[in-house]
Amino acid sequence: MLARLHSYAVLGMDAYPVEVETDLSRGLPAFNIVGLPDAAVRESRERVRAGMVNSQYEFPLRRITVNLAPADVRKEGPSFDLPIALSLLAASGQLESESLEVYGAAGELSLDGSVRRINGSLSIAEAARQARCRGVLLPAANAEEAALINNIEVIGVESLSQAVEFLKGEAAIAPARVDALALLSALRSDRLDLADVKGQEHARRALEVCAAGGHNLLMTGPPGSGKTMLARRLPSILPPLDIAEAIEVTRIYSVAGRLNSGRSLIASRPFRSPHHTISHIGLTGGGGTPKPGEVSLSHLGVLFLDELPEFSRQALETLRQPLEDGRVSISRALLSVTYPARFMLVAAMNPCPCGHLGDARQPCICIPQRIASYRSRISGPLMDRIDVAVEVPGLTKKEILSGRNRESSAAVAQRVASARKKQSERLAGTNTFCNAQMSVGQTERSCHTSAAGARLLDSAIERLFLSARAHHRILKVSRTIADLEGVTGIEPQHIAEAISYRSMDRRGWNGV
Amino acid sequence: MGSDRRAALALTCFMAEYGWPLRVPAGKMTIRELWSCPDRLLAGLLKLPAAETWRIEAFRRSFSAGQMFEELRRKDVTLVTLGEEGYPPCLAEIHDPPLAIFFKGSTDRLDEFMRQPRLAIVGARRASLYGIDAATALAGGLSRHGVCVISGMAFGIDSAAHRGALESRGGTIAVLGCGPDVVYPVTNRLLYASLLESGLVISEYPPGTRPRPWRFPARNRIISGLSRGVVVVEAKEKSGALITADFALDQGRDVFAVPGSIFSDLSIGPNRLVRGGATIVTGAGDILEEYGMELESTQEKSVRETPQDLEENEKLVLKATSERPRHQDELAARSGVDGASTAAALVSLEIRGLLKFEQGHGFRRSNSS
Repeated sequence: MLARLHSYAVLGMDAYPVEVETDLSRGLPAFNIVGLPDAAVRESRERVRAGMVNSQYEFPLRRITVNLAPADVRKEGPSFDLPIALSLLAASGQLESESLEVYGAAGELSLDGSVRRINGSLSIAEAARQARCRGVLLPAANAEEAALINNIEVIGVESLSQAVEFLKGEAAIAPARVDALALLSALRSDRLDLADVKGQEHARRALEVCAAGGHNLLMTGPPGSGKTMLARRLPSILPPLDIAEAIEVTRIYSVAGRLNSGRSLIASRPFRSPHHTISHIGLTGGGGTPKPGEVSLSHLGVLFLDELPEFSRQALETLRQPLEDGRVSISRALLSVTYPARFMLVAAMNPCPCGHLGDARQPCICIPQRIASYRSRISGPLMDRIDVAVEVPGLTKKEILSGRNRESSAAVAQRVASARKKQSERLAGTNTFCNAQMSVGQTERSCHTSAAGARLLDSAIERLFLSARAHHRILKVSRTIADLEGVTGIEPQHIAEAISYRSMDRRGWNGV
Repeated sequence: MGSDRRAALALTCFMAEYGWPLRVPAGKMTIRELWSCPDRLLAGLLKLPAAETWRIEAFRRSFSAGQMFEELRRKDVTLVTLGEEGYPPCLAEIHDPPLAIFFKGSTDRLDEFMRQPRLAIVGARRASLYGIDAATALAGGLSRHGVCVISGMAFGIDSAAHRGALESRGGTIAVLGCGPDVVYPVTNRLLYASLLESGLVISEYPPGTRPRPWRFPARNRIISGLSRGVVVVEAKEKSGALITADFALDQGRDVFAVPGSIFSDLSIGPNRLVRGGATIVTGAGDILEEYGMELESTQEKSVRETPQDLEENEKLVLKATSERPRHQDELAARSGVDGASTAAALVSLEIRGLLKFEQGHGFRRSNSS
C-alpha cells in the first residue's frame, strides 16, 4: 500500500514543497525514513509511533518506508511528524479521504498525539498557496500567524485525531481568519516616549535627522549620559510599520521561531540590542540549520550595538554586507540562504576606555595612545557606513533634575513622516526608500546645493581638515535636514548642521 | 676646509656606526689632524678599547666620503661641521658638541631660528591629556611671541610641543635620535612632513641611521644645547626628559617645570625639579617674564580680532564660548539659540577660525589665529 501527502520544509526565508511518500510492504517490521533526514526527522519515528498509539490508532506492524522527496535536499526539524503520521494512517487504510490530495500538512507530534507549534508556518502557508493547495493543516498555535496569508485555508489542528476527523469529513474546522489591520493596530505599542529624555538637545536632533533619512548613527558619550535611553526611543519616532512591512518582519520571526501565541504579528518596528559578546554567526545568522541572526531580526527596525568597540572585530566586519545591501547571504557547503536585513544601525560607545573623556563630572584617566587604540577598533570601512556621529555629554545632577519637559515622540514622528514622504516622492521609481540608501549618482542628482552651500562645504573640507569621503555623506545628511524643513534646495545652514554631525571626520577622532 | 669637512663627516659616521658614546678630545688638534692619526693613536684618543682598533681600520677601508656627500645631496640633507660658519654657536659652546650636524630644511631657516630665542619643551612619551594640553598650550603661547620651540619628536609631550608651535605658525626644531631622514616613531609621519614644511629636523647622525636606545640620551644634550632653557612637562621618575634637564644644568641653561598632581607618576619628575629649584611654569607668560619679554594680552587680541560681519546667531553663540571647551548643548542654552542653528553657527565660526573643536570636549575660542 502506498500513500502520498504534501508537506513543506523551510529553507532560509522560504518554504519548498516536500512529498511525503509512505509504503507498507511485507517483511520484518521496520520503520525507515529516507530522503536525507536529520536527527530530529529520524527521531520522529518514535513520536509518530507513540502519537498514533496514544490516539487509539493502530501502528502497522509491517515494513514501513517513508520517503521525503526531493530526496537530495537535507530535511530538518520535527515538522514532518504530522504528515508522516497521516500518510502512515492512509497507507494502512485507517484514513481514506480525497482531501489528502488538496490539503498539505506540517506539525510536530507530542507523544500523546497532540500537535505542537513549529517554526516558519507563515512561509509554509505561502508555499502551499503558491503550490495551489486548497488548504494546509498546521498546529493550532501557529494558525493565526499563517492566516496572514490570504487565498488559502489554514486549518489549525490541536491533535492527530482532530486532523484525521477533519480529513475524513467527520468534523468541520473553520479555516483560521485574522483581520491583519485590526491586529496591527491592536498589537502596536510604543511605551517609550522621547519626552522622557532630559537635555541632550544635539543628540535628540541627531536622532530625529537619522529617523527622517534612515541614517546610521553613532553616539559617543560617558556612561550614564543617556545613549541607550535615546536609542530605545528611536522606533517611537520612526513611521509605524504598514501591513506589508509587518508581514515581512513577522515572516522572519516566524522562521526564527520567535513568535508566541498572543503575538502572532510583529506590529512595531523591531529594536534589537545584542550583547557585545555576540558571535558573528549570532549577528548575521547561520548555523548547521540556518537561522536568521540579529541583523535580520532587526529588519525594518533598529539594531542597537551598545559598547561598539567591545564587539569582536569579526562580528563588526560582517555587518558591512547587510549595511550595504540590506540583506545577508549565508553560504555553507550544503546550502546558501539569504535573509533580508535592512535595518538602521545605532551604535553607542564610550569616548575612551575609562569612559570619562570630556565628562564634567569625573576626570578621564586614559593616556592618548590608549584612546587611539580604543577608537581604532572600529575599522574605517564600518565607519564609512555611519552617516551621523554625535557626542552625548554627561549630565550633571542639576541638569537632570532641572530638565524641561521636551517634545513628545508623536510630535517628532510627524516631522519625520513628512520628511520621509518627500523622499519617497523624490526617489519614486527606484528601489531606494530614503536618503541614506542613495547611491553616489542619486546623491549627485538629488542634492542640489545653493552656490553659498557649495562654497561652505568646500571651505569646511579644507579648513576643518575633513576627509574627502565625508563629502557625499554630508550632502546626504543635509538633504535630510532640508527635507525635515520642507524645502527643496540645500542651504548653507543645512550643510553646516550636517557637518556638526560628522565628528568622526574631525582631527583627533582616532586619538591625538 | 674641504678636507676638514671630510674628516668630520668620516669621524661622525664612524661614531654613529660604532655606537659607543665616544668623546672627541677637545682643543688640542683639529679634526683633520685627529682623523689622520694612525689607527692605534686614534683609538687611544677616542678612548676606544685596544682590542677594537681593527674597527677603525675596517671603517677607513669601506668608507667613502664622496659617496656620503652624494647621499646627502640625494636625500636633501645639509651638513654643518663644528667650526664652520653656520654651525649653531650655542651648540659649539657645550662641552661635548657634535662634530657635525645633519639637518633637513634650508640653511636660511637654521640661521633664522638661531637668531630667535629658543626653548625646549620635553616630557613623557606616555603622557596624560593634561600634559598634552599643557605642552600644546605652552608651545603655542611661546611661538606666538617669537620663541622657537625645540623638542625630540617622540610620542606624547614632544609631539604636542611641535604641534602647538606649528599650529601657531611659529618656528620649531625637532632633534632626532636617528638619521634626519628616518621617521621615528612612524606614526608621526604627518608631523614629520609638516616639520619639513615649516620647521627644521636636526640630527647628529648621518642619513639612514636607525633609532637605537643609546642614541636618545645622547641627542638630549643637543636639545638642551640648542636652547636657552628646558621646560619639563610630565616625566616619570626615570625619564629621558630628566636627562635633558640634567644636561641643561650642566650646560648652564635654565630649567622650568610644569607642576602636576602629587598623586600622579607623571608628575614625579617635574615636581622633583621644582623642589630642586626649577622655575614653576603655569603659562607661557611665566617664561616670557623670566626673559623680560613682553606678553601680549590674549584678551585684547580676541576683542580686537572679532570680525564685525557675523550674523546675529553667530554673534550670540560666539559670545557664549570661552577659552575652555563647552559642549554644543551648553552653548545653545547659554546663547538662547535653538539647537540646529547653534550647530550651524558653530561650524561656520569654526571655518572662520574663531573656534576650535576638540574631540570629546566641544568648542572653545581659538587663540591661534
